[in-house]
Amino acid sequence: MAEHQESSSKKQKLSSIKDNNSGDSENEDRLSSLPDSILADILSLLDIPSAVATSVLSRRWRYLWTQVTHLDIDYDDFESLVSEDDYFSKVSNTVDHILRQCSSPKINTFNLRIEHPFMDEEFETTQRYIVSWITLFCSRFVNQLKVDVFDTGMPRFPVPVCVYQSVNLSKLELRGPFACVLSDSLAIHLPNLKSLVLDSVDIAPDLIGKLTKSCPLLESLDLHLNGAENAVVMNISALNLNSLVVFLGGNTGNWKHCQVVIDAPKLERVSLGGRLACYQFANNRNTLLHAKLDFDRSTFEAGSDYLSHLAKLLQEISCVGSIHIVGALRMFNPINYVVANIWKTFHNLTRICLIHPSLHQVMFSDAPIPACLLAKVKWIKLDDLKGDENDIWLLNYILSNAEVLEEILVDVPTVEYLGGSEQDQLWWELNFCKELFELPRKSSTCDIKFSGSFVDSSSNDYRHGSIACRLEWSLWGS
Amino acid sequence: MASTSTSTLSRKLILKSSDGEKFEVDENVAMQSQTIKHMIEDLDDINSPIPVSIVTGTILSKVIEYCKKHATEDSDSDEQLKQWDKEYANNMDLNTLYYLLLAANYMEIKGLLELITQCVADMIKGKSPEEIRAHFNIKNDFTPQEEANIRNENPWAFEN
Repeated sequence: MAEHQESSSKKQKLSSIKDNNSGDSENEDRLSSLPDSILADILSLLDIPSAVATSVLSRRWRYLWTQVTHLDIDYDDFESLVSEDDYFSKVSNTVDHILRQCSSPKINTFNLRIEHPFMDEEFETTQRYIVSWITLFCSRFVNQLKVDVFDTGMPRFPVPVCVYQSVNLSKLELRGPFACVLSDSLAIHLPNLKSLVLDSVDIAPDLIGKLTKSCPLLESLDLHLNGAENAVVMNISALNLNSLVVFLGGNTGNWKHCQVVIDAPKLERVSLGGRLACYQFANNRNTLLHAKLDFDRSTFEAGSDYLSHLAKLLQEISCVGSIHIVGALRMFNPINYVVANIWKTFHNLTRICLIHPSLHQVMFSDAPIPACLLAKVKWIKLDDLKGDENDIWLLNYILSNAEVLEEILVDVPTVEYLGGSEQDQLWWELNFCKELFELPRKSSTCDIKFSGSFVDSSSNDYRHGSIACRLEWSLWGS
Repeated sequence: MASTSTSTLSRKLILKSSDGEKFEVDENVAMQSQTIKHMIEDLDDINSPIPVSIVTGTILSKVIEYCKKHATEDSDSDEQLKQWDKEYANNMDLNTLYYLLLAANYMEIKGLLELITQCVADMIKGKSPEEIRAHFNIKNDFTPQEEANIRNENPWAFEN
C-alpha cells in the first residue's frame, strides 16, 4: 500500500483534503474526507430517507444531506406515517420540513410523486404545498421538474407562473390535476426546455401553440389531453422536435373537429392515440422514421367520420420505416377502400409491431395484412397474442407470404382459457412453440422467436421435433 | 502502458502523473478530460508532458483505461459498454474508488465521475447507519444523546 501513502502525501499540497491518518490506509475513513461537493453528488443518488439517515453517521455527515441537488419525493416512501390519522397532511408537513432544510442554491431535479388519492378537504392544503415547492425550486434554477399527482377528478389548480419562465428548465413533466393558465400579457421564456410532458393537464390548444413556439430547443413533446372544444386548431410548431406523442382522451367524440397541425421539420418519431383528430403535417419533409398508432376502436366503426382523417394521416406518415399498431388489424383493412390502398405507398416500411392483434378485429378478410407490406417487411413483432387458433392462422398467413422476413417475435403472455394452472400453461407453450416452428416459411432464413410466461425459444434451436428453450423456473417453482 | 496504436492520424500526448510516471495516449483519449482539454488549448508545445498533478501513476493508468474504452466509438453497443463499466467499477477496492473519484473530479471526466459516484451510492443504499459506518470505517463521534436527538429530528428516515 506504499503507493497510496505516497500519493496522499503529495495530494495534501494540492487538494483541499486533509488526510489525518495517512498511516494505515486499510482502515481509514477515506469517504468522509472527500470534498463536500462529491459527497453531495453521492447523496443525491439516494432516495431522500436514505440521504437524511446519513445525518447520524458522524459530525462530518451531520448536514451534508441538505446539499443534495436531486430531490426525489414519493409520498409512498413515508409509509410509516400511513396508519396515522390525518396521513396526508402529516406527509405533506414532513415533506415540507425536508424540502425547507435543503440549502443547495442550485437544484438539479425535483421529482414529486403522490399516487395516493386524497380527500376533498385535503385538496387545498396539498395544492398550496405543491405550488410553494414548485415556486421554491424554480427560484433555485431547477433543471428537471417532474410532478405527478393522483388525479381524482377534483378541480384543477394553476401551474405557478414561474414555471413558464424558468430559464434553466430542460425537462418539465406535469401529470395530474393541473391547469395551464396564462394571461396574454405574460411571455413564456423557456430557452432550454428540451422535453415537455403534460398528462391530463388542462391546457387550451392555442396555449400549446404558444408554448411550443417559445421553446426553441424542444426535442420531445408528450401530450395527453382530456377534451377539447369543438372545432379548434392546435398548432405544434417546434423546429427541433424529434419525438412527439399526442393522446387525445375523453369520452365524447369532440376531437373529431379538432385540427392538429404539426410543423416540425426534424420530427423522427410520432405516437398518436386515443381519439383521432384531423392531423396535418405542415412542411412535411419525410423525416419520420417511426410511428405508433393507438386509436380507439370507435375510429374504425362503420360510418365513422374518422376514416377520412385516418386516410389523410396515413398519407402524411407514409415515409416511416417502422410502425407500431395497437389493437387494430382493422387499421390495414378499413371498410373504406382508400385507406387500404394507402399502404402501397409505404415504401420504406420494413418493421411492423402489432400489439394485441386479433383476427376478430377484421371481419371476413383473407388478407389481414396487405400483401404489399408483407412483401417488404423484414421484422415483425406480434405482442400480447391471445394464443388461440386464429393466431396460428395469422402467423401462418404472415410466414407464408413474407418473402424477405428475417425475424418474427411472438409474445404470448398468458393463455386465459387454460384457467391459470402453471403446468397447463407450460405444456401449452411448448406445444404452441412446436406448431409455430413447423409452419412453412416463404423466407427460409427467417428466425421465429417465441416468448411466453415460462418458455423462451427460437426456431434456430429447433431440430427434429425437439425444442431447446429457456424455462423461467423461478416462476414455475412458486 | 504506452499506447500500441499505430494510427498516424491521431496526435499523441504525454501525461505525467504526480509520481513522475509518463503515459503516451491518443489525443481523443485524453480529451475526455475537460481539464486536459483546457490545458492543451493553452499549451505551446504539444510534445512536452502534461502534468496531472494530483493523480498517481497507478490511478492514472486506471483513468486512461476508462478513457480508452470510451474513446473508441461504434465498437461496442451501449449495453456492452455499461457491462464493461460495471465490471471496471466492481474490480476496484474502496481505496482505489476513492482516488478515482478525486481524479475524475479533478480531471473533469463526467462519465467516470458518474460511474464511481453511482458505485459508492449503491454501497450506501439499503444499509443502516451502523452498517454504513462499518463498511466505510466511519467513526461515530456523537454521544448517544446527540445521536438520539438527530434521529428524532427526522424519525421517518430511520424506520426501515
